[in-house]
Amino acid sequence: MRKSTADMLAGAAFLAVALAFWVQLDAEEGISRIFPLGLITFITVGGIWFIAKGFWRRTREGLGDANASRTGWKRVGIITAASVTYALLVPTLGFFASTGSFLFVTLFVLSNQELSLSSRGLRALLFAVLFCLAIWAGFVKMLNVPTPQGLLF
Amino acid sequence: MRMFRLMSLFMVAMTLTMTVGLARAADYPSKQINMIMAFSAGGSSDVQARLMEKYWNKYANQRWTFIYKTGAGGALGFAEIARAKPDGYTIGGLNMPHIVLQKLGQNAQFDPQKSFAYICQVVNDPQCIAVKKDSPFKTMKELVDYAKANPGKVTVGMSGKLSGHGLMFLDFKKKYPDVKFADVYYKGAAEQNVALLGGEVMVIFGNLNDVMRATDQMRVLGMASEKRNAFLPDVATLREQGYDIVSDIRRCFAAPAGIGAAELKYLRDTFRKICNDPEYLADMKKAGQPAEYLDGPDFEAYVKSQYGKAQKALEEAGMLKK
Amino acid sequence: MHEFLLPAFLNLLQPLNIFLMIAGLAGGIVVGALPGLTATMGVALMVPVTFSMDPMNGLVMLGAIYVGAIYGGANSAILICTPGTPSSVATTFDGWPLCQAGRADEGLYTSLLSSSFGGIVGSFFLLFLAAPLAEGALNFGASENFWLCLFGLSTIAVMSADNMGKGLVSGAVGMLVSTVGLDPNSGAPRFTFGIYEMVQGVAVIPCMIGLFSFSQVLFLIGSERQHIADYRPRKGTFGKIFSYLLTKCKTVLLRSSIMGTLIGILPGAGGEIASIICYNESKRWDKDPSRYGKGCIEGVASSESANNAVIGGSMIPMLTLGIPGSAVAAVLMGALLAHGLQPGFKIFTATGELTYTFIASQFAVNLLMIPVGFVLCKCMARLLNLELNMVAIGIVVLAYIGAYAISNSMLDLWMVVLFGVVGFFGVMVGWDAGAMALGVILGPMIEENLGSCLQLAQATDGGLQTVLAGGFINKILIGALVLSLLTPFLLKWKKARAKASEDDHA
Repeated sequence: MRKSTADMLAGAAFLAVALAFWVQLDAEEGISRIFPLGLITFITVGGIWFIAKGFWRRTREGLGDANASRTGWKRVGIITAASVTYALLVPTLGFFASTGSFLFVTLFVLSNQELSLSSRGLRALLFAVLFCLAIWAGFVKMLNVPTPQGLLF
Repeated sequence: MRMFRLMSLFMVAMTLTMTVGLARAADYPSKQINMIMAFSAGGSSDVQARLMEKYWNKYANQRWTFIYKTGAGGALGFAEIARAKPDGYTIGGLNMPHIVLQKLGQNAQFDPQKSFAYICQVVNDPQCIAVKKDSPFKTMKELVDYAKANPGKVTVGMSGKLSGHGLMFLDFKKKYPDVKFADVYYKGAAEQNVALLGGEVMVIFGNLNDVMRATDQMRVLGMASEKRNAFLPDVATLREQGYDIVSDIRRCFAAPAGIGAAELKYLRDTFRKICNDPEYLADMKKAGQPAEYLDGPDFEAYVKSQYGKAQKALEEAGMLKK
Repeated sequence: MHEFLLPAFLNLLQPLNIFLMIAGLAGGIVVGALPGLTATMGVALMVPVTFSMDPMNGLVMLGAIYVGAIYGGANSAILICTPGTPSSVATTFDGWPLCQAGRADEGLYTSLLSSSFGGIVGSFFLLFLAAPLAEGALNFGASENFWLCLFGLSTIAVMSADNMGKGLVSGAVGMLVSTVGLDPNSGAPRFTFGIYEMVQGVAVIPCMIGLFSFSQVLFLIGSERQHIADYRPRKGTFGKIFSYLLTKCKTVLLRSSIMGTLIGILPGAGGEIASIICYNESKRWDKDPSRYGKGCIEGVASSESANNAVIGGSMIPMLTLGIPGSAVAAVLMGALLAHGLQPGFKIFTATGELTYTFIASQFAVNLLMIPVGFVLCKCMARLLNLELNMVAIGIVVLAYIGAYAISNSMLDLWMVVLFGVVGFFGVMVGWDAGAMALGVILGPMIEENLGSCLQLAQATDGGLQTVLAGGFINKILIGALVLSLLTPFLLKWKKARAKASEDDHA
């Protein structure tokens, strides 16, 4: 990402946070208003500053200034989507059923494409089952850590 | 023919559900009971419930499973109890006046007058007015006289505006308008005690439970209870000293409203047995918990009366949330 | 005191106590190392177990779990850049670069030895200076705490010296986020965005799990590597680190441990603040601050010694005044009460043998931690040989369990995801996750203390100014704050001067 783009995006994100809280500010009064209001103002000023800085920087940097760090966006997308689905499934499927499926599906999709389908499946299945067992034994049985309840196990 | 079949099926189903229902009530509890705690593990409420659990296992054959649903000063855990299935397998601990204040001042998602079937009250922790040991105030009268002569100069530390302390402050202000204290609010009892011992505030309205641990460093001027407390028998009540203030924090257990009569009776009976067990009372005393039993219906009446009072007090102070 | 010390040490030699200390340590280290499960939870989960034990055995075990869990957090901080407990956030700053450079073993041994050192310093203060320190802590009122929190925030300036602007605004975002929930002054709900459950506010732990653990999962998965890092353990590293810490690091260790103890004594400020502040102080006073953040032993040592020193410190007000100095100390106090022990100065006389056995066990636990931790961290380093995908996916599950277990709330799971995404993308555009976490922790404390100051001001002659600036401690803290804010400029000046003198020589 180019430095100017990073500055502009950071500034825009700051502004978005400030705006979201500003909309909610109506009902407050006294110190409960002053404190957040002060923060919102500070963040807004910061947001505008960074956007301006980004534009200023854009005028003097060449295209070559992009710092090249490779990110596997597809894989990031997959794990985010899988985690969100997982969190959605927990209340309905139950903790262990959803954890098992999450582990299996995600590892299957993400693992090395060069391996054969069946060996990927077997590895993912083994991992999911062992991990779930370990959590159940360690957390639920030994430590009594509460896990979310759902319809199934 | 078809009609008859349907009818008989219906009858069978009816009898089945009824017998199951009866059987369920008869051998209640037949599985573990969930105990919802609205405060974190190791806290004062939890310690009390754990002592209770010890004796519950003596009288009943099913154990408790503790579920800690904490946050928002207990409001989330209380709501969880109100929302639970009223089958007798989920009960929990409630605190007064928290449940009333949360409904009135924070739009909490339960109604203390409708959502709960109260089992019994187990703790009554009266509020005290305490000063530091080296404070010039030796009696309530000296404190009040000084506050009258120097309006707004006597700082009073409390934990939270929407709390038992805050309510007591409103009550005091209304009954004795010429005694002007300056109110300072802290996050909890720990911060409040530091403020008093460090000399930041002159007086605190504190819970007996928190104050009595520091009697080497604090002097308790009066207790906002109806009668003297066994933990500090030498401290006179505020009424004895001519101030009509009674304020306390009470802990009770409750099931969600709609619980079957048989289950509720079982719970109430068992809790009564625990509360009258001398060993339990000795344990409570050792842990510094001011035990006071009040049965379910009486506690419900108490909640109703306090609800009305608190509503009026908050309305006058402009703290009611619509 | 002396009459109790001998019986206390004899009590420790009981086989059951030795077993409980080792078991507690091992359990604590594992709980601490798992991202999501914190020291508070580890101790809280075991409190009911101690009810069936003799009070002495129970307390010795709980103390061992506390020590183990705080140290354990460092392992995951170094190996996978996810702090196992909030107290080891600062350990990731230098521990993770060490790991990426294939020097994970150095980081692990540093954290083990400095944790043990910090713990012993904290216990030393607990044993010999509990009463005067507790009296001193009472002088920290609302205004002192307010300045201390601002001082803590000002360390952002050091933390992200070359990115100070974004660091400061990130800290403000953290503070703003922390205002969600019940308003500390009126008790009414605010910033709930129409969701009632939000009255519980943004809890520090789910937020930190998100910012540091979940975002790290996204980073690891996105890096398309096969393994997390190379691990090339070398023989003799342990001895090398040991002598390095004793010679070159002794000032850093001693300063961080003492500061950690003092921060631990203050109610409200715990290990998560102590480690960040001590890390930044080490960086500030170092001859070459630019080494920090690139895999520097001193960084790991200061953070880890500080957070273990907090343990002893946090027990000082808990035992003497009944005022816990940290969240874990609060749980321990519950355990004390349940066993019928009343905190207060009397606890050192009336139940002296028990109290001194407990304190003595803290020394023993910190020494025993070296062999126990040595074995366990060798096992945990194997994690680096596992396939990266498995580790990353496993962290997601552990993060969810940890977030949920704190208050049985599904909303906390969503917080983890939300802050994970914020942390991942934020860091890409230059937001500072550390500063944001500091804001989330310190925000409520600043607001509460400022509120109390305003209320106090109405009853004070001279008003707010007298409340905030009066008093000796306030003046010192304000001075420290100003100095801290000037540091980046001082550093720049120092650099420029060094460069100038270099040019002169050339």
